[in-house]
Amino acid sequence: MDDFNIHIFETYLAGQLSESDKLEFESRLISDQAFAKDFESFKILQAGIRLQAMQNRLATLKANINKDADKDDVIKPILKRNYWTWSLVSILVLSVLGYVIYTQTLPVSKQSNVKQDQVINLDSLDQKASSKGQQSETLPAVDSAGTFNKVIKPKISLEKSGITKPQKQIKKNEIIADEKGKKITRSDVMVLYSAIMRDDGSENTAYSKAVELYRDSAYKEALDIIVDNVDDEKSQYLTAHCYLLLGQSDKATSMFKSFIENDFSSFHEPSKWYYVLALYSGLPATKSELIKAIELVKDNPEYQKKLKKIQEDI
Amino acid sequence: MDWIERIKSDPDKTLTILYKDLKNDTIQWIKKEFSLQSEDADEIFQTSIVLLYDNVVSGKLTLLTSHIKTYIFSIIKNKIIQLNRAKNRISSYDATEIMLGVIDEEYQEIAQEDLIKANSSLIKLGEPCKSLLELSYYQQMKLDDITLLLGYKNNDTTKNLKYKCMKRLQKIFFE
Repeated sequence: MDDFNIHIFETYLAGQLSESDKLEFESRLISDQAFAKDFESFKILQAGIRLQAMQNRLATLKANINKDADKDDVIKPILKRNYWTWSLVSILVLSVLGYVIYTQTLPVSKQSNVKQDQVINLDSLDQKASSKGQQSETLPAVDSAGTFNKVIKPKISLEKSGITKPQKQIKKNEIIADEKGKKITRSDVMVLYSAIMRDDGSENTAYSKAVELYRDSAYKEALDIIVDNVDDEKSQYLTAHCYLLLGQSDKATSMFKSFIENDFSSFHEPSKWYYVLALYSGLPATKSELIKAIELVKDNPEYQKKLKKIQEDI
Repeated sequence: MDWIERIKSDPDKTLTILYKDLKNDTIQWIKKEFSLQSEDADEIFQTSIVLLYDNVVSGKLTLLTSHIKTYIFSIIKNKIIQLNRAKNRISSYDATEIMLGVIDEEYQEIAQEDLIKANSSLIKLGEPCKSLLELSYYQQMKLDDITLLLGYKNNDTTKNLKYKCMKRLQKIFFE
């Protein structure tokens, strides 16, 4: 099946061929067996795509139903169990509110036992006012949900996941992946493809946890979580980066290479540079492969400076 | 926005809402009408929602002339039960078999074994080809939209990849 045939098949099935082209197409189906076989397989594959899409849709529907059912299971019993507690709390809160409103609306003379002719100490009022001001300034910034989440969320999610935050393994400019000490630093590799760094961690998945750990330089722990996610491309990409940063250049090399070989992959392009880095860290054994790999990125202005250094080392 | 537009614009949410809203009535009706257990009735109901979606995506359903519930009831009655009766197998209900039956009705010249083989070839093909082909051939999405959605460089890249994917799928199919 070549590109032209695919185009003709699509156009014919969409009913977009002119009357004469349609006749020509149909007569070719009779006279050209290979063409007819291609067309048959094209129709079968289209029907297969439809079946697959329907199955996916059903799976998604089932997942959504189960997700909602889980939510109901969690929320309803809690509300039901605590019905009386909630009622009591509500009554208490309303009573307190009522009392506060009542006392606030009382005439000043009834609010305190202060006599009208009592001398007011201005200094003490100033002190009270200033201490109130100080208090508000020292309050944590909990008024902004965004700030709160930003500060608290990573800690909570790590604790929830049961993973203790590990010690940083590699300092920013510490040299990694080379026993002679002239190769890659962490900062060289920190600029990651957007799929990893843009992950907001909102999904409670192994991948999100791994991204958090990766950001905390806990590559080994991140690796443990995602290394088996072989069907998830972004997990595999993150795995390759973890290997690279852990100094396991051979594994990183083969993983980045597989992304490069798959031109359908979302990580096809960014893997080229990291493939070069992985090979660089495997020098001198990888020298000839590295020279070939440099060809993949040599025209990219982004890497010119670093490439120059690598070429010097070769 | 009517149901058809809602299904087109947000199928995940709309189909789940439909399921929840119509679940009790429909399952009761199936159980009563066809003397089935709740589990089978639920499976049939879920499948009928997917068939509704399929009818919208394929352009067979462009305008609802009756209530959506009536339409779903008619899917259940006319397609699923009819298909199973034809096979003399009222006792077991498997969603994939029901879907195969529906597709089989439309593509009578395609053998079911070939269809199953094509389906498993797609699974072997994997991502992103699977999504790309589904968007193009099933959802009939325009190249512009696919390019935007999947983040490809331009329409030519998307088109070339689609052809590559289709050829790769054919290769797997004939292996």
